[in-house]
Amino acid sequence: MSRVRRTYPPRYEYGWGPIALMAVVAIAVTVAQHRARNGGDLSLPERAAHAAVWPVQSALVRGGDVLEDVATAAWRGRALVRENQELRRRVAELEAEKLWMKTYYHENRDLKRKLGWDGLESPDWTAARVIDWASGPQRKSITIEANRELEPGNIVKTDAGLVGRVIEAEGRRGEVILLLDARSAVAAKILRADGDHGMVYPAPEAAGGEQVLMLSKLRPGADVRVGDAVISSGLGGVYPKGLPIGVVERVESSPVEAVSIIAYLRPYADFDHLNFVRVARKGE
Amino acid sequence: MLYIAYTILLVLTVGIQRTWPGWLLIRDQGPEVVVAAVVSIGLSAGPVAGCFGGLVGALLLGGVEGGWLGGTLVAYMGLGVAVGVMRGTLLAERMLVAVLVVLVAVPLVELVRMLFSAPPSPTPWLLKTAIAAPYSAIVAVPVYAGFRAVTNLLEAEE
Repeated sequence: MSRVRRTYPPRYEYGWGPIALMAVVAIAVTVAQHRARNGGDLSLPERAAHAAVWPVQSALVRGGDVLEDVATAAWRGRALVRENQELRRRVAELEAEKLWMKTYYHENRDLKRKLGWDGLESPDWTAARVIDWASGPQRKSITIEANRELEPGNIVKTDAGLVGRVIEAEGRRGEVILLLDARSAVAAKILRADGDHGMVYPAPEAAGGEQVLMLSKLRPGADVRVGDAVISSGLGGVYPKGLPIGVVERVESSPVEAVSIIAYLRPYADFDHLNFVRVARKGE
Repeated sequence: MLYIAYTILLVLTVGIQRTWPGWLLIRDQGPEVVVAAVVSIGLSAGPVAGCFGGLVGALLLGGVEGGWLGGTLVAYMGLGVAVGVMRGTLLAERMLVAVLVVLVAVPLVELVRMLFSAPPSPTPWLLKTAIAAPYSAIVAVPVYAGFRAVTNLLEAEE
């Protein structure tokens, strides 16, 4: 069988014009991005990239789950049957438990109403799947797909604790800035009667790892102890009050001012294993 | 038509790179599938198509990653043009060449991106690149085969 011999044009005959044009486009895109970022916004090409890639990522994540299920079923057929029987038994137990919980829930709601604590009703959280993880030197964010339309400002958490908030949304998909991102700041308080207020920021890497938060801007001589739980205070209106953030692991004096205190927190949310999260509207 | 096909394939490629399954990560690092795609386009269709692949790939990847686009655009477009110019002279249009080029291209692309946006410490960057380069070279086999097939199919039509 004879092979077709390809001929190549001399280098000066390559279409350098289109390449120069594409270089100009690249420069324009870069300038547009810098301008948009200076205004705290996303540029048009970035929005277009999100609109094009996010649906593909969503489909790939779902497809991957199906493949994993099929592979698991093929690999562990007999064991799965036994596991299924065990799970059915467990579901029956949990259904019975749920009936009790519903009774407690209604009792609790009646008591709250009688005590005038209606305002502390928890928001209506909806589930969302994480479809992308982005972590740069300063930028730590995830992309999620929820069961309903998302809006910038939506609050995101896991069952363990606060994760962050939505900063960019397109339909049911949105980008979430994590508490570990350099731009994140949460008004917080120590969970204790008259607990001190402060702000939670991501800790510098030198403070002991990538996944450490710090509680600062506390009053001089604030009462912070190792093991204290820290929750959102609701001040500033960005996050609702009462969301668990983390636990104090270390307390230090500020290197700038000795009477100021900085507490380093271990976040409750496991940022290494974010696969599903819960989302609520800010005002809910 | 060829360029539309490349754009669709690049969207898919970026999606695959960004959602690489956790159980296939090596020390939290996946392959640079987009680098393999840009090399494949440059090697299959020349510098103009390579530059186009670099532009679209960098826009999509940079846009989704959320970082600065400048370094990514320079690195990917430069790679596409360079591979395209060298095809047929220094670089033969063969699978093995594509694999070797990707092996070399991944550290070069990461180096250019690092010049524009330096990482806080060099050790994780070195480790990441050391894993990504051979991993991407392996992934370049199906990526090159796919882009090569699409190029042959659509070039013949045109």
